[in-house]
Amino acid sequence: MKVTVVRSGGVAGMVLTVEVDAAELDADAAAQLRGLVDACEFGDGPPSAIADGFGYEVAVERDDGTVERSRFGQGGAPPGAGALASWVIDGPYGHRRAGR
Amino acid sequence: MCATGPVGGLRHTPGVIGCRCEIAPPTLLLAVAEAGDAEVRDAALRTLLTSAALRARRSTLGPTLRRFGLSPADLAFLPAQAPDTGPENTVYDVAGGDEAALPGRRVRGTTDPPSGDTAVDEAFDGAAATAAFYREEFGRDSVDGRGLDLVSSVHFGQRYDNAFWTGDQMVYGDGGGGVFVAGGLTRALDVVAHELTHGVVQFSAGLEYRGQSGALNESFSDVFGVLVAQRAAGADAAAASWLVGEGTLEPSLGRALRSMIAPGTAYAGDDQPADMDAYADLPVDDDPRNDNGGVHVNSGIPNRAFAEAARSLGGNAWETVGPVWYEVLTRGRLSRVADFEDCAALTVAVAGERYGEGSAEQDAVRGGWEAVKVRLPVDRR
Repeated sequence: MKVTVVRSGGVAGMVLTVEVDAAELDADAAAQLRGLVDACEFGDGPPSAIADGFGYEVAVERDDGTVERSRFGQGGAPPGAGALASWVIDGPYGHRRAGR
Repeated sequence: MCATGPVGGLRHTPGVIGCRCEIAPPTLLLAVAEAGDAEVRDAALRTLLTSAALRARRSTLGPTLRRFGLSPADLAFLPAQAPDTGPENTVYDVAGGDEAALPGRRVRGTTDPPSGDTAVDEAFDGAAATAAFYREEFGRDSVDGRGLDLVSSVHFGQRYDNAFWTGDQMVYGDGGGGVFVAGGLTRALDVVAHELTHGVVQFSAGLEYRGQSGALNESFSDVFGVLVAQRAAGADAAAASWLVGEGTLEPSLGRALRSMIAPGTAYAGDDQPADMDAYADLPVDDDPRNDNGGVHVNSGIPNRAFAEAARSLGGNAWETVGPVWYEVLTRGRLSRVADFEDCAALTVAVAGERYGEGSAEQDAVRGGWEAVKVRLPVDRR
């Protein structure tokens, strides 16, 4: 399973992409990731209503190839999607890339 | 006529404004607003906000406004705050909380000494410097032109890499999340002024945050952000770096958020175009990669037009081209959906009105837009 989070906007206006591959994680981290994915509702949320608010895309590619996706603005995350995005972006496990 | 009972008062909205009698406690009015139909809700909110504004300053109303999806712009019917005292400048500590925790614990007010918390004191000083810039250079009374109190909250979220204007207050993360250096967001005066200028845009032209009008929204915030910083540093147009947020990024990423004079060169991956030949025609959709149609991308084009005009004129940009851009933004001639050509035509026209047709200033403004290849009205000289 791979989880990819794209975050754009903010005062920097920078597009940041962070990808986590569960196969590269230790058992505890992989379990945390699966728990967060299981708790995530993959509908879209409202866009950010503020200038320089962040916009997000959270995409989960399962081992069987299916993909679930959620897009939302800052403060508008569907249940579980914000926690999953934070874990991926702020944690130490992701491969990070700046640029569109 | 002023009603004395809560229900009667709510159902006779037109008589409420200017009425100083107490008609219901705020908690009751909030309950009525939440439970009532649209008419009752509006009347209750109007009564509540009017009553609160008469007793207190509008800075205390942010959480109530957000609860009902309103902003200070919806309080335009209220009298302006007392001009002799100026806006209050207050900083709160939201202690790692999110939007629901705003504004947080009050740490420093207008007349308080420095708190010892660097983020608090930098947010305070940045807001004060920005308000002083608008007051002293353009006679503008705070963000809304009517004395709106300056409210800032610091320590938002965990290692949060952003600062933003909510519609009624400033919010700063601590940085340190991989993009901004820790403490960088409050340290950079141009970043503070950029965000507060989003408030000025909100209360003036109201440029829609999408496509070219959104890029203009971003550009006006960059323009006045750097002008506040240039004035504070005493840097004229030749000496200025024309960088936005210099030194705020993690050094591995780059030296600044944006370069106004050389868009696309501020950091590795900076894709701002320097002129219309490289315009990024991004769709306005929900894909975050598309940035609401490139609002942070194509803003490089009007940014460079301003910087080129200022540099060609020399002197202090906040005294030469800055007043032209301010007048265009705030005098009601720039539409909410203006594009680059609309803005260019207005700046050329205003420069002619302020300094004379064919003046050096007007030629510099025209030259700035020509440098970025934005089409202008024909010069009939």
